[in-house]
Amino acid sequence: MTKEKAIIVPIPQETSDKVERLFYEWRAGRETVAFLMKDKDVRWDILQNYINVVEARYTELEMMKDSISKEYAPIPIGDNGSPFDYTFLFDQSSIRYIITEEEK
Amino acid sequence: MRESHSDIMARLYGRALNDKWDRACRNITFQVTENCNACCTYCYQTHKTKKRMPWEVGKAIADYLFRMWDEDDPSAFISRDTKSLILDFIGGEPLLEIELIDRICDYFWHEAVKRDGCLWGDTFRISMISNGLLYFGKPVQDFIKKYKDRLSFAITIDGPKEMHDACRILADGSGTWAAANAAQKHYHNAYGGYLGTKVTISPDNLIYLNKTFRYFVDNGYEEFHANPIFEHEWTPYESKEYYKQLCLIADDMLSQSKYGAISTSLFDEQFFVPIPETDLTPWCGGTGLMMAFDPDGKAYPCLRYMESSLNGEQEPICVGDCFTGAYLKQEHIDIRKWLSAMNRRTSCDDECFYCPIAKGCASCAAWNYQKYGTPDKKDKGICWMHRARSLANAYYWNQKWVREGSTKRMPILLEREHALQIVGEKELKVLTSLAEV
Repeated sequence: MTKEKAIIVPIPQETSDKVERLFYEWRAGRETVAFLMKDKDVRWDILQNYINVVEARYTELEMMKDSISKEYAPIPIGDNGSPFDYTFLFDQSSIRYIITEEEK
Repeated sequence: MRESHSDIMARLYGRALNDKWDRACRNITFQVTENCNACCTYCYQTHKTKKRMPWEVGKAIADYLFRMWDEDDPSAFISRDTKSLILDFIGGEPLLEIELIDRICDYFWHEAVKRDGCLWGDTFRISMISNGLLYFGKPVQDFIKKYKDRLSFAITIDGPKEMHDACRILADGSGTWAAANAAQKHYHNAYGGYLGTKVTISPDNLIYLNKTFRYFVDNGYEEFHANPIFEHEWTPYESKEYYKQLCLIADDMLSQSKYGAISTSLFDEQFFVPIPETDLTPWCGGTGLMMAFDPDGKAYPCLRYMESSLNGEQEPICVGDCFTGAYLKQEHIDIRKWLSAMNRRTSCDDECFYCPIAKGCASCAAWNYQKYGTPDKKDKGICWMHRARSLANAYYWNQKWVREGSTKRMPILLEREHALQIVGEKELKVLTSLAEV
């Protein structure tokens, strides 16, 4: 049997802002790509360049999330520890961890 | 309350700019036409013509914005610190020029994505307020479909039909409520458009304020904002009515009905206290934080400094144009220095500067200019309305907190002599006892 536990861990405002900025830019960039793809007169080099920009933002965002979530994890988790999921709570400058533990 | 786009930008990008946080997002107004298809009785633009903005001017404005980004001059209105722009299209009635607006937005977006490191393509927003009369036309619908994720669009409705149609009329005198209401409903249902409104309180509609509030809540609106016009010298008599209307709204909101769920700026727990002497930030952005272009491409610190708004009472304050740039000639540089040197201390007399309820008191720099010939003299025509609002806020918040079991209280800091002209001795005693823990 397993049980889930939620723990909210505060992180520095600056760190939270950095992740939120990247998240915002990645999401907004996807909208821009969609706009360009609908435009029959679009220059393909510009479109391809923008797709690359948005892909790079996504990679940077995922790497940053992974690194920060490990840095602030409340207990050893991940590979050899408990499995976990997490969500950034930008409005509270914190991370909400959901940790799955074996019930004793 | 919903976070505005400029607030989001200030939060995400402004913190890193410290005291220059306002550079993160700039508001650019395009007056695409002076023409209007309605004849509202209270329109402040009494000097409108049929003038329209040609495409060459719209394009030149966009080019000028990008030129400032490319040049990255930290003293310019826009630099690379500017992470987002709000393109605000106004009229007259902006939907009369929807093809032009569509072309400007398309051009702007394509130009933004061409520039390495420029975020504007991802972060720009389009803002428009319309009377809704042209809303169902194909060009307008096509534009909204294309830009709905970037668009902040509102249709002005004053309230119930009889109230709206009393002022918002066509040239033949017929009302526009039916068209505006149908457009607003469609925008909400078809595009998920946000239902919020900002009502302008004038002496003519003051007695209907609570009725108006109820109308909007009953029709599914999520936000209700209202503010008294600056262009009227409000009296103690009118402030009594304002207090009464606000208390009726407060009672509705405290009644645990649907009225309590609405978000409104009428009641703000942070307001009605003195502003520290060290805080000199002016209320209004029309002191150099915005830029507006008329149909000829002339630049102004705000649309209210244009000829069409000043009604011939003062000379327009022009600061350049989109072709050669703004704030370049010595006379325009001097205007900028003058506007940016303005602050709460320079604009307020002692009564205003040391006012015990100064926080939350609104001001319009361009109206000050229209009335006094200088934007640096705060008009006090709304004093009595602000005083009434401070008492109504104490009425609302203290009852709310008492019911919630909270020990928080909003003190009554308004001078007793002023309070007594609005509420009388008995009511003031009730308000004072509510404010005590």
